[in-house]
Amino acid sequence: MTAGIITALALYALLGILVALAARRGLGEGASEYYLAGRRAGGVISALSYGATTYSAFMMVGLAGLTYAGGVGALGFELIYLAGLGLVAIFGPRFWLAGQRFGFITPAEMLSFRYDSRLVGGVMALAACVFLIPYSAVQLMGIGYLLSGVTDGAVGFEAGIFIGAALALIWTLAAGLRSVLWTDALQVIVMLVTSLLAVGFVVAALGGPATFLQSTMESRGEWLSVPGPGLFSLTTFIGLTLPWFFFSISNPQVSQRLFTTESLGALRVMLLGFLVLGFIYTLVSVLWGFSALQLLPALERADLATPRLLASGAIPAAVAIVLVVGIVAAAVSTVDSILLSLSALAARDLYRPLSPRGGREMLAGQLVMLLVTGLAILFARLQLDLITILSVASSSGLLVTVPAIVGCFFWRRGTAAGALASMVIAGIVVTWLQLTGTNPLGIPASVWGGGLALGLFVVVSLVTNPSPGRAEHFLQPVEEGLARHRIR
Amino acid sequence: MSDYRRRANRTLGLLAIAILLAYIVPYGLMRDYAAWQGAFLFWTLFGVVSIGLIFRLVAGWRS
Repeated sequence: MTAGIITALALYALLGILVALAARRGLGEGASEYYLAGRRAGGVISALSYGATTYSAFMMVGLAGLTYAGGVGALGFELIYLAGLGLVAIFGPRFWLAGQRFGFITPAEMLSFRYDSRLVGGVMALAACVFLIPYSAVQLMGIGYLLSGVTDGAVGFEAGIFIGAALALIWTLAAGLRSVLWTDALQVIVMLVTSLLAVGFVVAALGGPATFLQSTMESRGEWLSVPGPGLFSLTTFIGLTLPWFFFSISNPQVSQRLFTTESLGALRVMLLGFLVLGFIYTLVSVLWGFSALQLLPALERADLATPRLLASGAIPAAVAIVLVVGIVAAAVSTVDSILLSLSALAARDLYRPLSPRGGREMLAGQLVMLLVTGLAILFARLQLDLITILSVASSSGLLVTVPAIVGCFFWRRGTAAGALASMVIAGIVVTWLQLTGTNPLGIPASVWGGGLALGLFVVVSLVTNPSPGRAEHFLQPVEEGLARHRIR
Repeated sequence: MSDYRRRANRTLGLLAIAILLAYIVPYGLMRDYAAWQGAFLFWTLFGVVSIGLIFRLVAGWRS
């Protein structure tokens, strides 16, 4: 199977590179073209790309592993995230209208303008870099575990990391968001089709759907309830779901997509298309984890469920090979979007304010891509604990930006000092809690971080003065646009 | 308040209730109920209902 996997990966890489290079044709000049595909992305391709960006190695490796370790709570956790996409129905049109009116490239730029302080955007950009590098590393680790697992070490963990990082980098550098959109669309189709096929074969190997359901209930009944075998206590469940619920507005690699569609209609198609895709992929990933419980009942680490299942012979080698490519595609398509987003944030919100003449902004962004890739590789090589917990830790960190983002549109009294205090202090506290593994009073770090950020934003805003007229200047065209489009 | 705003508020309220139930029902009424027709079925239905409500939220947007 090893030779088959290497061949399939080579074909996938080649096809991706061709698609990325094709995307270069028609690429115009400037930051808006490179980072936002000229704000001309159609609804369907945006939905596919949003799916590829959001769903990563986390699903078929991490979520399957989480199901293996903790049972059905994994399904609830992921579907609560999906319900959180209701936030896109609220914030999506607001981001889009503000982007059209003021030309924002990044969410941080929008916050800088709204709070009339470049420091706000700079801090948000920095927070994104700090928290998304581990998240990117988690994706690379997913590739490393998978490839070393299914090839019995013929492709090593580190080689897997390098392959993933190199592909993500090439596809991002090729044509910015245009190449990311095109390669993502290709990859999400591979992800979805291969995972559906694989689950079909595994369930068939277990005697068909009825036998699979029955045998799971008889031998692993505890996994069908919460708290189940122990991982999903209510406190842990809340700690995991809270940052995930706000993912769509806290993570810039997805919230930036709210600036990119050609119209509000396309934004709606993006949202609805993604919801359908996400629902199917979630069910598939969870059922995959339950199948692993039946076929491989005594794994030493839950993260190994997918690689071992693929190598178990329960599914034909050809299907296993394409699923491996599908999972690698899922991880790469997430990392490339993060690279692009961090590059935009660094160029627009860190470099530009420091270099008032604005020269070489694009070059600075591309250098940041290289730097972030290097750091993600270093972090991935540390092989820190359970893959899912690390992903959530990144989102817990970004949760501290949510009060400032919400306040941007819904609280005129919000101030730059409030936004800064909430991101900096709560960001430091939540990072410290996570690094030390401390949960004061048994409450998870994410809940402390989110609560503290909210409290600081409100209190500090109330004791400081907002920039005169700025909230009105920012909100007036947005509110007019909302009324014109009959949006709440 | 205009009709579309009232309708959106109602839908958002329903979505908020659905999300609360996604914590309360599996960890309350269905706690330790070890069957597919327990938490698994409930959360699957919750997913479908949430998607339906989000669809309803955006259906009235005028492009």
